[in-house]
Amino acid sequence: MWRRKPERPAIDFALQLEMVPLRNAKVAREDVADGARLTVDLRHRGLAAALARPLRLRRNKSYVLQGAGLELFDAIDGRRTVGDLADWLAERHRLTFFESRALVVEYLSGLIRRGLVAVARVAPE
Amino acid sequence: MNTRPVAWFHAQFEVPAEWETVRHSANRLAGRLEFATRAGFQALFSWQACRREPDAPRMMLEFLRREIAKTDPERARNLRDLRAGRVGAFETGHAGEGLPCLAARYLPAAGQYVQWIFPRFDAARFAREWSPLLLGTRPNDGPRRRWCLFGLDLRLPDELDLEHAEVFPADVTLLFESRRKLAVHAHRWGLPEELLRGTTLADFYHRVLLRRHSVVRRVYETALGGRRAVGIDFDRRGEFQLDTLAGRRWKGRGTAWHDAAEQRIYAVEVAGRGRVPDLAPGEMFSHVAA
Repeated sequence: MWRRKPERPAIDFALQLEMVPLRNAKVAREDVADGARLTVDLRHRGLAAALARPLRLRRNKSYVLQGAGLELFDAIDGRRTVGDLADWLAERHRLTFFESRALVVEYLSGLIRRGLVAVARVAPE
Repeated sequence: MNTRPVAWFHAQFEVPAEWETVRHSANRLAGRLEFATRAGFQALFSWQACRREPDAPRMMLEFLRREIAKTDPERARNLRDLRAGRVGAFETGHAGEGLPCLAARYLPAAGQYVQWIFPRFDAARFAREWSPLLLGTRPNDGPRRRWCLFGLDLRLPDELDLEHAEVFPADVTLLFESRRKLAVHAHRWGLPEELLRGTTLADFYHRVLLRRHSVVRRVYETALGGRRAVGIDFDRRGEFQLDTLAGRRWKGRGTAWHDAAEQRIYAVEVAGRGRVPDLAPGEMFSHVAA
């Protein structure tokens, strides 16, 4: 009756750096004072999907990005890999590679959880 | 080859500049530092308290046997001898190309057995990179012990020992304490534009001290090594054990400054039970005083 969740594939360090973040094309962007408001449609699942309309559950959610967070979001162009973004952030803010990598990965995982960004694995040549 | 200094507990040395510390221990008796680059793991430095000088070749042989046994138990059983050598005070040993290479020595004054482990022996790298590292590895002692890691470079009285290290990306705090109830907190933050967005260094540092359960008494402008700095006098309860509940307040003085060229914010607090210890930030942060 209950299906086990498939195990997450292991991602090693090198593969993580080769992943390419992609912006969610459906995200609406509005510039606000010293930042940008990003609005993303919500997808309710299960019981919440059935009750979304009668309960008037919210259909979208907005996030305001500022400063380095917004710069990083803007730097996601569908071509730069996680490693490229880490190098870019390290150079811009004089961070070490591992500091920058940890900050980029942490920030991207926050954006992914909120549906603003997805990551693609680069196809082997 | 560009190098950068590392000094931690009992030893100090110079590692290639691109090596970063990815794991650390804050234990005086036994621990390790691991170094890596984006290409992967580069080296491990470990220390272990020992009353007498151990049999280093035998310990290295046992280590190699255990490592080789993970992939080739037959070869591990037949491993009888190391290809041993000596670099400075270090005894070195390996079992061939592609297998780990070890170097160990005993520091009699500290009573510590220290060891370097390199993941794969490579004769060219050994000569070019590892030999200078081993030759430069020396005891970290003297009246002012050096603590140089994660971008912080401190010289502290020997009585102060590392109690706690909070290491996050671009956010490092080291806490040192002595038996005489003297404490030093050293901080280093990256991304100062983000931390100081819409606020001042004084307000930022004030908030940091409040988060550490301090009662701020006075905020003032000061100077350090020609830079403008913020000084804060505060009182604080002890952070560990019964001190958190029932200890007397410690009196402290903090100094924070923004190094715009390096794009980092530094801060150091000294606190003592009953009175502020006589330790100036310029004495502790050698590179700032210069």
